Amino acid sequence: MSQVAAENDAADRSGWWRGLEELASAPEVKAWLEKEYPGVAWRGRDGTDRRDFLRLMAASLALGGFTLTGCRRWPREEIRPHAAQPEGTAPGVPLHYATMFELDGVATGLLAKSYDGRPVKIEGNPLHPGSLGAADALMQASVLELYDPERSRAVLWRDPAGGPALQPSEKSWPEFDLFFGARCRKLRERQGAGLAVLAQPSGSPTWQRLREEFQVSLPKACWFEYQPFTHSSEYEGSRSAWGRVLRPQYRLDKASVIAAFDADPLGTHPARLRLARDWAAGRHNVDQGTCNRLYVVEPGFTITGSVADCRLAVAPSAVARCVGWLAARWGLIDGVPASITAREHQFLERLANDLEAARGAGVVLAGPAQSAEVHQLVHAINHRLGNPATTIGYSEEPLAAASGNSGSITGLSRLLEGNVVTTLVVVGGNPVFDGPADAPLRLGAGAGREFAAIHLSLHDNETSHECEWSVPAAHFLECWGDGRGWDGTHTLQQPLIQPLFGGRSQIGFLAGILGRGPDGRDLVRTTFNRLFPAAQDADWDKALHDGLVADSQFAQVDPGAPKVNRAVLLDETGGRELRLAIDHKVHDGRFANNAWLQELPDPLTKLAWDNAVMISPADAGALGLQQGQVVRLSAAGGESRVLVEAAVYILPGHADGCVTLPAGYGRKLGGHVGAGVGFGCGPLRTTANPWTVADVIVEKTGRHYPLAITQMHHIAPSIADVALDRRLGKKGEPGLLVHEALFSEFQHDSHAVHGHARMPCIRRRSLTRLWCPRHDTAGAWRST
Amino acid sequence: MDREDQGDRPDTPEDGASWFRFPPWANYLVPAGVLLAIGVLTYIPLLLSLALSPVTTDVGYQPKQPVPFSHKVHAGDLKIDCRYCHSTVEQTAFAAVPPTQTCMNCHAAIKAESPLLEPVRSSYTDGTAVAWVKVHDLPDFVYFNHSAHINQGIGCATCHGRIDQMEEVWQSQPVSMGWCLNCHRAPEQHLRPRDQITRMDWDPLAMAGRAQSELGSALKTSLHIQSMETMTSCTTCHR
Repeated sequence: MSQVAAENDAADRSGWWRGLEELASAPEVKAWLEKEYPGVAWRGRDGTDRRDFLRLMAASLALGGFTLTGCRRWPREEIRPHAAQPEGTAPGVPLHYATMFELDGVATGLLAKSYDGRPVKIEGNPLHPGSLGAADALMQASVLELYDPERSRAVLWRDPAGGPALQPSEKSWPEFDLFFGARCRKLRERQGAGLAVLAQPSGSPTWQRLREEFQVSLPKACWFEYQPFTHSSEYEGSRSAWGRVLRPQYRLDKASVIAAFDADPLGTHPARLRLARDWAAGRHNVDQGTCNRLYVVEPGFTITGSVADCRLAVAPSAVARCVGWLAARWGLIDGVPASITAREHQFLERLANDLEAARGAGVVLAGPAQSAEVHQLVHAINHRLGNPATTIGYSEEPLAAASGNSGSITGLSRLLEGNVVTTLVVVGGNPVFDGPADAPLRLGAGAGREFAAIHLSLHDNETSHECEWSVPAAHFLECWGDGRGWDGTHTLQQPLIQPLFGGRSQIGFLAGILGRGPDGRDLVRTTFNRLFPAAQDADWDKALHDGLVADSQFAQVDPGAPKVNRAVLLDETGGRELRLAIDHKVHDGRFANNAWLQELPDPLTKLAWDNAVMISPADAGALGLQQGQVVRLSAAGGESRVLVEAAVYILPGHADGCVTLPAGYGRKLGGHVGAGVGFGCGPLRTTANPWTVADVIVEKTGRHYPLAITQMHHIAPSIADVALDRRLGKKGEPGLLVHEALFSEFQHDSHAVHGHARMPCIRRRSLTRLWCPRHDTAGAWRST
Repeated sequence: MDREDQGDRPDTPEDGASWFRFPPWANYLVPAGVLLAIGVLTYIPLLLSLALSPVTTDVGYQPKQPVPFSHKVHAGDLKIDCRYCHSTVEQTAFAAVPPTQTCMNCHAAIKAESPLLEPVRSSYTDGTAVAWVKVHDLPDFVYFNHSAHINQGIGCATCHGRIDQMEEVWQSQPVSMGWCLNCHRAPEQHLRPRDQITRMDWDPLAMAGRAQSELGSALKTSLHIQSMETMTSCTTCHR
């Protein structure tokens, strides 16, 4: 992008600009603005433009009005009241229930609104410490997922001898139970020999209880856990620091200096809702001149990075050497990374001084993509600065306990090659799509192989298609369950509706393998009774009403001083690196068939419906790349180079020398909405590199891919000028959203920065009243 | 075809100028035009009369119900209050049709063997709903709220008519937009004290000793009825 900002009128007005194109006043933008409706591509393939479309629609409406409606009979409608009215309900009056949503093994409390027995809206549970009343986009959109007509609707059986082209035949649950029950009985007699389970890590206490029972009663069975965005390096780092895996509980509201190294506590961290609230709490007192300071060192652009006070964009390996430099500064390791650049040095010097000054009130975080060594050093730095006392607490990591005594997906891959497994149960997930390329799962039966794979899944996805049995799972709004929040709060999940397509819950399915009844409520209640032996029925009712058990956080542990490997040297520099990032919309691909999420613009790139490989403007210039150009990314893999193709998105603020590709796109069997959207990272993901692929070569192809970017929407001058001026304010004057003032003025009068602008008044909502199973709180069930 | 078309084409006059000549098929335009005019002239009055007829507005609509429930007996002779069955009418938008359980409160003992009540008994035993047919069926783009009307002094009989005299319920008012607006523009013509809402034979002059217009105006103030602008705003009913 050429540097012509000076003669640009849009950017000139206030010094603010919305996209590189606007800054550079590129001719495409001008041409685009001259169109009647910018950003609306009406002319389709068949040459129908907007006017033609409206003309046709008007004509057909007129025709319809003259002929069809006149002949239409008023429909005969029926009123079907309950035979026995459920207590506390009135037709047409919505009820709220507390439930939860688990993602990556961490539960967040929610309030679900149900209208005549149909869940229609999700909000956060204000009582839950992981939500505090907030719900993110994935949670909000889960209502649409519940009603997704392409969810797995029946038990499907694919004849192992039939080949991939064969249509699956629909079976009933009794037919499946007949097969599976007999198979499980046989497996139980053999103590589980030949049985393997592949599941995703889950913090659910009931799930963990059943898993422990599984391992006791079926000692010869194998248990594997896999999730594409692994936290294993975090666990490893903690293990080498203290000999056990601990989960850091950050208290960002108490921190005055926060340094995030390749971490995204406000964007993709499992406790993001709470962390964002806490971080914001530390900035409320900005008018008093005390405000926390956020330093971010990262390769891509994250939500945390977008609100950082000081941000350094460097490649993933350079993040590691920055941590190494900090550790060396405080004498924690011997070798100072020599490859540190002057820019990094200057940034780190300031950061180190700030952290020194804020001893005991700082937080240093590293993200899951960084290596175990980096995590170990970060623990040591925090300890050296005295932070654990105030801003970081530690608790046992419940998800690591599972990965500790179970195998990885590589082990399963090897096991499946060896014809030892006769029954593989895949619970949830989609390892065929998001598994590492070097651990393929052989799920077919093959000649002379006594083998059956069963996949319990919300969708009949890539993995289900390779399994003999595809079994519908229940949505979280349809079944009982429980979970633990990031801080350990025992959270309950209650169903709002019977399974629409007869799905089964994960805990019910696992109980079935053990030969138990699948009643989810019983399973969850049994766990509750074991965890809280003193609890009465009333306590259960209260927990169900609140959605959680108060004060049930994990016990805090004082781990003491972390061990440090003084000889560690984080100094490698390599070629161009590729970062595989968690997507804000489809996560790891599981939400691909959710049109609400696909339609939502990404928070940073404003891309809708696709992903793209993000690259810095400087790198794009050096490679001669334009926005939307398709590039070939190749990396060393096996004997030949593996490659994927993706469109380029030029992202200002992205680090040079690396590219970022959000994963979870390029689904082949993602449903009508999700299939074929975006670019997959397929063969680039390996067990060694779940997050970062080293030595990636980016090559230009001649092709161009239209990306749907909403960043420049609504900048048409005639329409938006007035609104824009109001929001931004004139240069040096506060607008509605952007407040600016000189520091000297601010020191003189802290309110000067706001000028006449008034922040929009946010009314505090009264607490939603929840459905209550108790009789003595009559009336409490009705929503307000 | 091509050759014939060329043959039919008008000859070019010798002086080089061209003039318009009606093609032969234009002869049919006159009868077609006449037919069209007759069609339009019958269609429009027909459309209007149909649109405004009680058949279209459904006054008198009386569908056959699965159980010949008599409001005359229950509300008229036995004087059961409307809210005994339609219990949610004061709190919610929808005046609940009672669950089978409510019927069985009495009919477990009274007329327990009646063959007419067989659908109710079977609903009670197997838990399936009785499929009552909706009589007052508003379009889905109208947001009607029973509680808003009941609590603001509009009686049941104002819209539903003398339910206590109907054997089986039929629609007594057109329930059209114009009908709704008549009242929204002049609510004082229909308001009554809140303790007389379910009274079927309400007569302001006989029972309150005041003329409706006088009583209505007083109630309009005391019940805080919204201004005419709000009452007739599109979004009041079409949200």
